[in-house]
Amino acid sequence: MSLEAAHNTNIAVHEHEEHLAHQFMNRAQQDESYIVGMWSFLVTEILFFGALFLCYSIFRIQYPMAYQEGHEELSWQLGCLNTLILLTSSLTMVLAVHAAQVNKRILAAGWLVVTCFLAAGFLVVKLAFEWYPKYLHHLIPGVHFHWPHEGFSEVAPGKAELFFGLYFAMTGLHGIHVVIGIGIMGVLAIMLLLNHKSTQYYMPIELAGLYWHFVDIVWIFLFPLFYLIGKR
Amino acid sequence: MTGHAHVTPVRVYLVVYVLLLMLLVATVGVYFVPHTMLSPAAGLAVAMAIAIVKAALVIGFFMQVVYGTKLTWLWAAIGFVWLSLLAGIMIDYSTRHMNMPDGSAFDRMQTQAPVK
Repeated sequence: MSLEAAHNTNIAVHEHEEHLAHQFMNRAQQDESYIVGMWSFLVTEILFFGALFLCYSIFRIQYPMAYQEGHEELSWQLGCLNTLILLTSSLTMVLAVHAAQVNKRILAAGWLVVTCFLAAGFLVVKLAFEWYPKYLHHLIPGVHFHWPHEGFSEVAPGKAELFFGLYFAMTGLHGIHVVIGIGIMGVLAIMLLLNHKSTQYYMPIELAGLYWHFVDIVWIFLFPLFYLIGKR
Repeated sequence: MTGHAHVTPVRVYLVVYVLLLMLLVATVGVYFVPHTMLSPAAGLAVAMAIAIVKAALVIGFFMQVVYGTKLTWLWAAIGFVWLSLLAGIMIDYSTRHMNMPDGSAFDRMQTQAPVK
């Protein structure tokens, strides 16, 4: 095929396929590029969280008792509730993607709003019922850190502080991702309601979904590693 | 070739969701198994195995990798190459005896959690 013929074919494709950027042959190629682009971002996120998980593991091997006693200050019930909330939000997210795929614009916006509310619920449980009481109990690492079991256990305050440092760093970084997710899903919901050109094709919602499921997966690992270390 | 998206039936999503909830119940259940029946290390291994199955369900079905192109499969797998490198570093740390900041030699076998 001559260059000119190829060019003409492309123009013909463009006329037939909506929402196709000019550098792509067709929508399948464009979809794959978008999805691979999102996955390459998620790989950098795995690098980001992976280093923290490595840090967690090395210190867990060194100070198993600090992790054991530290985790007893966390509420597995609240952790379980938050896992339930995030798993449910992943379901509502795929329902939003599904609605967008079958061109049910308002339904897709509705599921995105439900997902936003679930994400906000997660943050309320995390901040109001977990982090704030820990602040009151002086369990936030720093000059005011106080280890209630000091003198009654073999775990030195510094080692317990290390556990709580990792707890706040890892759940905090995860929490920041939840906040960003609420922003992305909220904006997409508004764009869907306004019937914005960019959300007339489902791909932006699909990509936001990939991000949101990644946030869910991080929590799937954080939950057993912090809340379910082991009964004594 | 036209770019028609793969539309997964909602039923599949609901089944995956129910499986995820069952695995959540399982991982909490393992937490309450007494240590006389399941050592802490075995408990951790079971909890991590459950978490990996949950993550695989989310990646495969919610993130649509099962229906994805070969290039999508490749990218979804690349992150785990990095995690396997981290696991290699872990093996190094967990098998060596370290000198602690206070000058004492650290032997991790001495500080294992007592099994009660």
